[in-house]
Amino acid sequence: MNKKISLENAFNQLSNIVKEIEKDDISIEDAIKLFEQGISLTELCRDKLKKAEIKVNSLNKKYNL
Amino acid sequence: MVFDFMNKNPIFTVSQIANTLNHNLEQNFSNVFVRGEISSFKIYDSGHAYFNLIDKSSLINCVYFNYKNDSSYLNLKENVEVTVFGSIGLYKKRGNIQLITSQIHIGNEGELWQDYLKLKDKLFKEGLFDRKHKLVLPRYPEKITIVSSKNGSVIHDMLNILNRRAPYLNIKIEHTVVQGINASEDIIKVLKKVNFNNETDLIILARGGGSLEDLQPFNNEKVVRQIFNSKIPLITAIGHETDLTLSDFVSSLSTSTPSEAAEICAPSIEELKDKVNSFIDRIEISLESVIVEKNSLLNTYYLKILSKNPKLNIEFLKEKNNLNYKLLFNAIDKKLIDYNDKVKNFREIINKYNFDAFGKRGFRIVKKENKILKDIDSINIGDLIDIDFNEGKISATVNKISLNKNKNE
Repeated sequence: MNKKISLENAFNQLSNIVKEIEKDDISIEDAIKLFEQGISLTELCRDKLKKAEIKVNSLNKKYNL
Repeated sequence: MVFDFMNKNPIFTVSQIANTLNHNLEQNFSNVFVRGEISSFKIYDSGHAYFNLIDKSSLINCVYFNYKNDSSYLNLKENVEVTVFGSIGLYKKRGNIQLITSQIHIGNEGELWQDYLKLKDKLFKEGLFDRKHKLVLPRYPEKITIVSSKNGSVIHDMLNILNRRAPYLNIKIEHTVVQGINASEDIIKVLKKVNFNNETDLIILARGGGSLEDLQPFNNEKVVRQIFNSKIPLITAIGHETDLTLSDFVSSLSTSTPSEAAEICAPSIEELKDKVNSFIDRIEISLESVIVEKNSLLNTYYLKILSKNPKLNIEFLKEKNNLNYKLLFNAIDKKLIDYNDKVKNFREIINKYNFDAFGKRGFRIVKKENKILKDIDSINIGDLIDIDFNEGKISATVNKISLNKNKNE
């Protein structure tokens, strides 16, 4: 999974993945594959957000905001 | 005044005669040079001087108004040979003809004066004195060169004034002879040298007061032209108040005395200090207002940035991501439940189908205590058993158990 993907892009992809899984005619194998991709994407986003939060918190602390 | 010449014997009044005479005298004898010897020279308390100008056979009354206040004031003695410049008029109250004097030149100064006027006229017509040729004096000179005699009080006085008023100046003294036959050449040589070196912001050409003859070098045509050609602004400081040499006419600025030149050639150190201080004040004031203005602008931006603290946004995004996570699980869970249901359905359909088929062929399920009996060993005589039919069930008691032969084997 490309780590340089933007949050917005990742969120769009996730939304599409959920829609795909929800389709009636999808095979269970494909659904599981997509699910795995989706989980990996949400983990990536969590990671990014965690890092952003740490950075912002340290800035807020440094400048007493 | 118009006379009626048709009348051959008109009768004039005294005033008419006097006025006509005066008119004629003024027309013919204005601004004339008259040479003669002084006799009976007398200065009155009023400051006016009365004397006679005589030669071998004639005498003219002369008056010099305010002679005492004249810079060239001299208590002239009898028999001195002079050339007087002035205008002839009639003193009507007494009927005297008199020479109203504006200049007295002793000895050959009369000729010098005439030469001076001729040359002045010539150079004026050439345009040498035109304002447009005058160089602009530097407002804040740093280097000043004084061209003068290094001997005598003039240079001493000038340096005193300059050192007191403007000690920051870099002053150079270029010695020149300022009097006598070699003076003109020497002055030209020094002015050329100073111009060639081109190391000074301003030249002051200075000399103390003196007679017209003393000041001759400064009326020399070559000297005047050298000053005209100077590429460096030049202040003349020659003689006393009313001594105007041709050098004064051609210089960038003419001052009445060397001391005055020293006073005005450069701003005093106090003036400069005041100026600098006022600049500092102005800079400080404008700086202060700039700082206040920038500070308030900065504050505005700071508040704007604070309101955009990404902390809030990150919380929102985290929530959104968690929602994504939940949505994913919901989707896959639903998918799996659907799938399970489908499998279960199939199984039920299959089961049902099997049960019916066996039933039609006569097979029945036997249950004891609601459990399906799969082998005979779990049945004893007297047990209650249930047998399922499509239409219902029957309950029975076991009377006899007979084992198959091959089963025993």
